[in-house]
Amino acid sequence: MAREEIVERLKEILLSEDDRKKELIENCTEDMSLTEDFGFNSVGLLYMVIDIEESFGIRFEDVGIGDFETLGQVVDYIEGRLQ
Amino acid sequence: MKKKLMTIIHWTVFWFVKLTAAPGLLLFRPKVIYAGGKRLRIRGGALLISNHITSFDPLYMQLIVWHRNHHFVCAKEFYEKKSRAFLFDCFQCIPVDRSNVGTGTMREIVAHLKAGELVSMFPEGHVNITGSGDHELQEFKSGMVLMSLLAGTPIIPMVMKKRKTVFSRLEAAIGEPVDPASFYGKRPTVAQIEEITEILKERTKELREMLGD
Repeated sequence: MAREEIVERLKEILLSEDDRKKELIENCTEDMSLTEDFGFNSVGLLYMVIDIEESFGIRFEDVGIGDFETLGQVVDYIEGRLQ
Repeated sequence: MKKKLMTIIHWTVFWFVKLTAAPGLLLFRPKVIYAGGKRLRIRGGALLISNHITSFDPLYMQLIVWHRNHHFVCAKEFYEKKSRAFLFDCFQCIPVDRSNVGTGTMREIVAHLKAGELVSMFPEGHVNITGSGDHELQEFKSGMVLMSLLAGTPIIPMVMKKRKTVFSRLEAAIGEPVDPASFYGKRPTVAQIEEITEILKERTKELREMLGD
C-alpha cells in the first residue's frame, strides 16, 4: 500500500473519531504533533489504534501516547506492520 | 511452568487472606444503599467505578461488593517494590502506567471484562486530596468508557463516604448500571466519549447526595 493511501485512510479514521477538527485533519501534514496539534490524550490514541487495527488488518504492540510524537510516526508504524 | 506455579501461589494467598479475614471484617460490614431502591446483584462482566478518598479504598470496595473477585486497576509505580508487587499479583491487580496508558493494559482490562469478570477502578486516577476537605470530585478519565464499549459491558458507579473515625461504619451507595453504548451506539466520537464520562461523574455526584456526603 502506498504511503499516500495510508495517510488518506488515516485522515478518514481521525475524521470519524473527531469531527470537531475537520479542517485541521483535512489539511494536516505528517510532521504535525499528535498532542499539540491534534490535542490527543491517551484515550484518543487508543481509540485511533483500535480503528487502525480494524481498517488495516494489523495489530499494534503495547504502545501508548508516549510512543508516537507525530502523525508521520504513526504512518511509519503502519507501513512497517504492513510489510 | 513457573507461571503456572506462581498463579497457584497467588490464588492460595488470595483465598487464605479472604477467608481468614472474613469473620473479623464482618464486624466492619458496610451499610450500602442502592439508587434503584433494591439490592443490585452485580453479575457478569462489569466495570465498577468509585470515588477515591483513602488508600484503603480497594479494601473497602472488596468489602462492599464482597461476593465478587475484583481486578483493581493499580498505578504501575506501586509495583516497584517486589513484596508489594507480589501482593498486588495475589489480588489480581492490573498495573497501569498513568502517564502513558498502553494498548497492553487496555487489552488486558477488556479481556477480563469479556470473560465476565469484575474490574474495579478509580476514574479520578488518584486519591482525592482536595484542600477543602470536602473531597469534591476531580475530573474523570475517559478510558473507562472506551474499555467498557469495547467489552460491551456496563459501568456501575459507586460512592464511599469518608469515615469519621476508624470505628465508624462504612457507608456506600451503588448506582444503576450504565451501558455506554446506549447513548451514541458502539462507536461514539471522542467528544461523545467525553460527554458520557461527564454523565458518569454526574451520576456519582447524585450518589454522594443520596449518601448525604
